[in-house]
Amino acid sequence: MVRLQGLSKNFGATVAVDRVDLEIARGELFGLLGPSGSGKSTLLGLIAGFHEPDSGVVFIEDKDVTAVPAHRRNLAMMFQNYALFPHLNVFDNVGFGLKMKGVPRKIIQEKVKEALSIVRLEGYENRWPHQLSGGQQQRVGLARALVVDPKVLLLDEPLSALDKGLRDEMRMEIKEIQRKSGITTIFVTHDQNEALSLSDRVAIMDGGKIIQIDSPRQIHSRPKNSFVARFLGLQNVFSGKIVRREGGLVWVVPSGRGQPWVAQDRGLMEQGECTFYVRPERIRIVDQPREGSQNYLYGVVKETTYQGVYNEIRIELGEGVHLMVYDMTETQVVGLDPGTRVITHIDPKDVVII
Amino acid sequence: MVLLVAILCAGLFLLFQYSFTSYIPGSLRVGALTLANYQRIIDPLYLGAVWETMVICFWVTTVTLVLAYPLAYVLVRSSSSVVRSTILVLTILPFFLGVVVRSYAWMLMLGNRGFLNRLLISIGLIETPIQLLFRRAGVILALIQISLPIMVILIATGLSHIDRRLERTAQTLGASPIKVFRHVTWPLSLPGVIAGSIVVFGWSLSAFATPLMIGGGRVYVMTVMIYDQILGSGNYPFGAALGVFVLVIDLALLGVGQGIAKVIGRRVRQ
Amino acid sequence: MIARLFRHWGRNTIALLVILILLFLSIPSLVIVVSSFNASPVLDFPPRGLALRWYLNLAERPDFRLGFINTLVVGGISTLIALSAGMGGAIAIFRGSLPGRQVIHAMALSTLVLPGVLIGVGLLMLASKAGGVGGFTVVIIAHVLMVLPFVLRSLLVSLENIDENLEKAAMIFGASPLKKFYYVTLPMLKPGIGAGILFALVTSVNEFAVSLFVVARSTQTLPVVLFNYTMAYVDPTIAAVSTLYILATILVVLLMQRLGGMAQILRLEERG
Repeated sequence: MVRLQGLSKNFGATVAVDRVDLEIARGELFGLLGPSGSGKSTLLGLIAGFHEPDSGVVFIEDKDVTAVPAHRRNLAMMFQNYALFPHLNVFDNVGFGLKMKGVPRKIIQEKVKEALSIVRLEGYENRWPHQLSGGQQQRVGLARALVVDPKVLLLDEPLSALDKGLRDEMRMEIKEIQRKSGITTIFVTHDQNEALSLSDRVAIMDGGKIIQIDSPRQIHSRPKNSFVARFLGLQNVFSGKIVRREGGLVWVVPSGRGQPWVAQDRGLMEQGECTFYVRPERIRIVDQPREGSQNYLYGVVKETTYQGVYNEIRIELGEGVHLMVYDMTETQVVGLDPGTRVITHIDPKDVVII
Repeated sequence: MVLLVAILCAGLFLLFQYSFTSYIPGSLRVGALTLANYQRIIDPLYLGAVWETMVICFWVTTVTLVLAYPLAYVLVRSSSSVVRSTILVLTILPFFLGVVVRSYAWMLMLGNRGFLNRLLISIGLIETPIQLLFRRAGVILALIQISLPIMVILIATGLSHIDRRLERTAQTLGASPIKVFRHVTWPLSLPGVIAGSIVVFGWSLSAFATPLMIGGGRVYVMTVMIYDQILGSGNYPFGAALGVFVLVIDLALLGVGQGIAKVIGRRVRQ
Repeated sequence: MIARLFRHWGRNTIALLVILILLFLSIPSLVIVVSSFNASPVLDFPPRGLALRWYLNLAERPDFRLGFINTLVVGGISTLIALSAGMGGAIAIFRGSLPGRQVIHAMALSTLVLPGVLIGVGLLMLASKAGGVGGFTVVIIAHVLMVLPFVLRSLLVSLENIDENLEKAAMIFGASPLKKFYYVTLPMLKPGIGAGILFALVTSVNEFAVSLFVVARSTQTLPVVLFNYTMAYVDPTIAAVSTLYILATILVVLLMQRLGGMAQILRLEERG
């Protein structure tokens, strides 16, 4: 449905998009996730037709649209700051796209009414944007986008300006509407929760390149590298060296020094550098090592913070290697003031090598 | 629009060109290229005009600044919108009247039997009327009143950009209102002050109607000088030379002003 | 205790100072108004009798009538020209990629700082070379040049304030560049256009220095007429004209205050 081949765009000396290849299927809800400056908004702009690429091709429905200007690509877009025309009322805003296409007034009236009822804003035709709340404005934006029956719906951080409750609500609405209408949708966000909960597939971008494309579940359980892992908010991500392989187990040394960790060998990695992590909630604090099991790491408690459901404990394992442990408050281990020496235990299968 | 700019440039270029030609008395034609016009400028008569202009500009700028600052301050900081509106309207109004009307107003005010003299005599400050019209002092006075609106607006804009929290912080750190002003408000208002001063100085340099009408030909400012030569004597080349001279001085002053603004701007940021 | 006394005292002195300065600003206008009703032609104060004779004189003299009409015509036409030229220029400066545009921008604004006398002389010389001395063309060109900075400034400020996303929205929903300009950009520029027109008209109506050099008898603008009269006669007729000027200005200022608030127009405050 949307295909990008070797797309690149520079702004002066900055490389915004770097030889991106991407294919998005019809009807897919596709997310572009990344930190600011990763190029995701520029990529969206290239698909929309706001910028001309320096090289590469943009295909929409198998037609090369690279040279087609934005106003003829038959797309629709929702913006972070709603971008409703302040000098037009709701009716004229929603009907704008149809008016530009030259659709007769009668039909515009019908379609606008229909669109407004989809977003649950019936009867708002004569209101003005400045009279509406943020959530309402965004829904008008959605109506405006849906009413033109676009080939692709583009969303540029549409939920960032809303507060939490509204955000969740709109997220559900967008997901449902997309499911019902089956419009190919591409959206851009820096919020990983948003991306992972909405999308059918997600592409993580950094520095103008796509780092990983996968379903949300896959990305979360198998982050491709430490950037992705850290961006997803994973804790305890370390780079290290594999020093030994034996009996289905692998020994990794974080940052090349300190006690080696033991991980399950999944046959993924050769010798040498790798990245690994362990989930904070999978770490146990024990009194003493048990015979026959591996991975007892010695450290000193640096800080304990109460987080409601769990305690967040930061432990220094020596040589600057810090460990975050989430200890469920229910099963609280006593005596964890800063300075206490502790022994942590990690089951080798919880040490994930990327 | 490019066309318009081109016309402007053409006009200025011609000015330049003319200045190098020689004058043929009694006709509007011009003779050969010469530097004679520029040499004439060195004559004390004309240099005197330069000095006169500078003195006037200096006084106008400084006094206007002193008067405008309190006005601007109250305009921006007053909590009463009535006060703010009143000041704004009263300040802007003269601005819209135009130089001819305002200069004329001062002609009325400054005469021997005009408002100012009558006032001063009636409150006993002086016994006989002081000659203000056709004098430098009168021109300065008028120019001050005419420049006030510009200065007030520019200073006010600068003041309105100051983050009030900075002042409050200083207060919580124990500074008295005077100290707060001296160490926080004043330095931060400097960009506006400088902008205003540069604009007013440049503007008084170019002032024409006011010195002409109030000076009555006796206060010899550079602009009046040029007027005399062109429309008075018809000596286009010399007038042109004077014009180029004025232009150079004007641009030089603008440059200096910008330089000062940059230096102070940098210091204020610290 | 002393500090409190001083603060109270200090506030009052500032208030007094401000009032005095405001008086200084406003008294000349008052003097004019009063003098315009002076029965005798001598310029003394306070006037010895009151009469309307100077207003009648105004109405009768042909040169004032001519000047008035000329000023209106020139003002209107130059504002229109400046608006269209300025619109094109503003868009080019704001969004264009022409290499010399900042220079052109600076030159367009230059008439604000250049001495009017110089501009007048330059244009006069240009006109004499081109053979159109004193004609309406030169006068209008002169006024357009003087008015352009204001128009340009207002338009640019308005342009800068248009949300970039609005342009994108217009584009993506099918507006070709022309349609986009007509349906989105232009309506959003209305405040800038309004302010531009206002400043342009005021500037043109009051323009003196440049006009003095480029007008001929038939194309005199009102300020030039006023000036010439002052040089020739000493009676308070000018005071009468000035009073009318003051009245008109007060109306305009009040209108502005009502419409948008002067402070906003002068960008002293942000839009609420």
